[in-house]
Amino acid sequence: MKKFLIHSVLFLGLLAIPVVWLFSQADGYTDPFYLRFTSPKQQSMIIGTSRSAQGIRPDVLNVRFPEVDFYNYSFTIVHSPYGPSYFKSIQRKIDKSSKGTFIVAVDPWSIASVAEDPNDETRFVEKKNAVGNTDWVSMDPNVVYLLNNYNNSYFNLLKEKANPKELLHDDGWLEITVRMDPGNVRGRTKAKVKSYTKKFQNQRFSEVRMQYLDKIITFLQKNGDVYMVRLPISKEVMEIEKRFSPDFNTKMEKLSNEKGVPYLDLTPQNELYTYTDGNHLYKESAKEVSERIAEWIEKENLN
Amino acid sequence: MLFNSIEFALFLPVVFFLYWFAVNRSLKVQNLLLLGASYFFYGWWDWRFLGLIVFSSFVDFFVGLLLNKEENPWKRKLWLWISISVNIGFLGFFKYYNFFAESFSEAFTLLGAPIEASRLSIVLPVGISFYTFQTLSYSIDVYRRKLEPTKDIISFFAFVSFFPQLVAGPIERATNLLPQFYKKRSFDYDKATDGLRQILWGLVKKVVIADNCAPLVNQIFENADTTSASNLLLGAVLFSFQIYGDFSGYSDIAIGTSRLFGFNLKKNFAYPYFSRDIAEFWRRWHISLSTWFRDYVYIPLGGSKGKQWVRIRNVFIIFLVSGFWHGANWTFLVWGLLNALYFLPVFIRKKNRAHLDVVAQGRWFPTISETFQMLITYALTVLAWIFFRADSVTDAFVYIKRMTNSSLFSIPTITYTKHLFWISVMLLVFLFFEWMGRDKEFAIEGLVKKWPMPLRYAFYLCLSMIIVLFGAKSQEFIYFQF
Repeated sequence: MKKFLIHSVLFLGLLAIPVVWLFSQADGYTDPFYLRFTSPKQQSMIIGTSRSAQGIRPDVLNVRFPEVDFYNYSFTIVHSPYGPSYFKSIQRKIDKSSKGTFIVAVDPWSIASVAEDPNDETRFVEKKNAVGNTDWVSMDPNVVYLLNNYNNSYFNLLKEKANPKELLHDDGWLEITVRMDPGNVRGRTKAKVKSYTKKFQNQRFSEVRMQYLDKIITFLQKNGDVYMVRLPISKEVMEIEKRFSPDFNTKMEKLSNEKGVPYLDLTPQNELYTYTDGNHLYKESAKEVSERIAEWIEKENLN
Repeated sequence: MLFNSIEFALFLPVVFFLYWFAVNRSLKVQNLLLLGASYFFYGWWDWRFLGLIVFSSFVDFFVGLLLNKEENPWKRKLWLWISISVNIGFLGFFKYYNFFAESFSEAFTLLGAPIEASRLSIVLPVGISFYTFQTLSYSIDVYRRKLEPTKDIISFFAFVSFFPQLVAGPIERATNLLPQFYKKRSFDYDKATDGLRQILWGLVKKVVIADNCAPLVNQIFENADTTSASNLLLGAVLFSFQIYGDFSGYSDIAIGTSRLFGFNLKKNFAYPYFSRDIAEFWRRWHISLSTWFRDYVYIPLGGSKGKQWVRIRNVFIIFLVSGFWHGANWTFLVWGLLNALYFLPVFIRKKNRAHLDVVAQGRWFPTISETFQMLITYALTVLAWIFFRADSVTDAFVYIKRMTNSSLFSIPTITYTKHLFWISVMLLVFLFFEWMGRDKEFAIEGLVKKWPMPLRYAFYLCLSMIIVLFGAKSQEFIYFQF
């Protein structure tokens, strides 16, 4: 038995060397989320779904607020709608050593769930995906994340990343590089409108998710200043949102007043920006929107 | 809990250490640990179905004792039928209820008297077909007085639920496995390292071969009505490797894991794609099921004795039942029927035991005639696998029909071309190892044993890294659904 154990431990030790090296090759090209689970705990975060993941740039905000180090901890509508999983993940990610600043991006879909019973937590989609199943949110390399959530063979971690479409920056911002000629944008927008039309039929406002948004804001307030933002979207997607949740702004304004948190609705400026697919800001527009948010926060601070 | 999961990678060493270090002084406690570990392993999927295994085990344990005590043949038969009814009853209810309800409904609709079939929303308990057959073999063997019933309830329950082979076999006989629970087991270095080697090879088969074939197979079968004939042929060939890698990989891991605990399980696969006729294929594919049906269905029906038509009938029964065992779908019945038809010419000519040895034993290469025989047998098998994989018999016929047009000679054009290239390379290397080790328990068993230790370690590390690097996202084992 002794011989067996020594040989097994020796073998596993030898195997661990290339495996750890392999996992350490994972980077911002690995997938749109990985680095967010390897970065250290954060004092100031951008919270939300893919709209804010792509649409709010910490590099822009950090120029305006050198004393604050913003980190984009937004995922997607499937991973981080407001609910218990995202709340837990934020609690794990936060660095409570000093007060920070938080931008909470809101949209009607992040407080909605399945139409049959939108308040049934067991049917919340995010439970089984990366945000729901990753307990260690600051481990580098994050072996647990890679084992549970990486959908390709690990050989892909070693591949050249020529002409990448998705790059997750060290500050958590997801940069998308796609062809922006009108034909391509139209095609992607059409597809997005189709998927949101379907979502419109299958989803409903969730009281439970709304409560979690409230809880998250309360939690973040204990750790710093909180700002609520609704990001701009194309007019096509806006039309669907208006029908899906006509009173969304009223709800957000009510929450903002109750919590004493400033709320900025950027959808009246939808026409000013460009979108990759009608739903996500293109990187240049993301820069402009981030500047606009920074100005607003500055003003709010002065007031 | 999947063998190819992190949970199992943690579970196995914990049970191993407890087994050999914490409770190694008492055989009873070791068995109790195995029983607890097995229930934990099974309950990881759905603890509610544990009740079924416990109930089945109780019934067969007490039926065994009663069968032994009872001398009256009628009463003995009654006890046996109680065991059969309970076991087959559960299996029938969970696995076949909806199939029969729908089939009756369709049949009545065809006859012009449509009836509404009430479908039940039931989940098939994982592995029910496997442990049901295992526990049934115990009752039958005790009834036949081939086996003394056990009075050791812990051993019996552990035998029924032994975690390495609980959910997808090999289907063990009580005569082989149960006595191993009575004997003191001591750690055997060679046996344990052999077990680890077999686990490693099983993981290669499952994670590298089967799981990498799966996305291509799915893509081709899902688009069978639009894709080219050469793609369809490719899909069928890849499926043959997927199902082999998946199932024989599971068996290897199960047998290897058992060895770590000092148990010997039956061999379940013996390089079936190197068979020279269909009879040989069936002696080499899912051996534990084939021999189960042989011993408990075929031979009681008369086997190969009696008139020709009776023998032929028995062959058809055995293949149809075997097909139906796999699933409640007409596709499996047609798959069984097709295999019976393949088997028939060999059987009638009494050539079904013509190839009992290993092909090209002692030689590197097969003869031209052996190569031809293997290719024909493989081609027949691939054709039958189409029915096994298709969602319906109609889909399978459409698949085969579309496979026989001129585009059969075109170059396959599928989305994952690069993926296909790598799979082809991996399959060739895999086949090379399988061929080289075809007379061994598992392909790499004899290959590396005599190598110096550093070289051996390097080989195992290479295989492990191949699993890590090229292993596809872990997927359930196909045979779990049976």
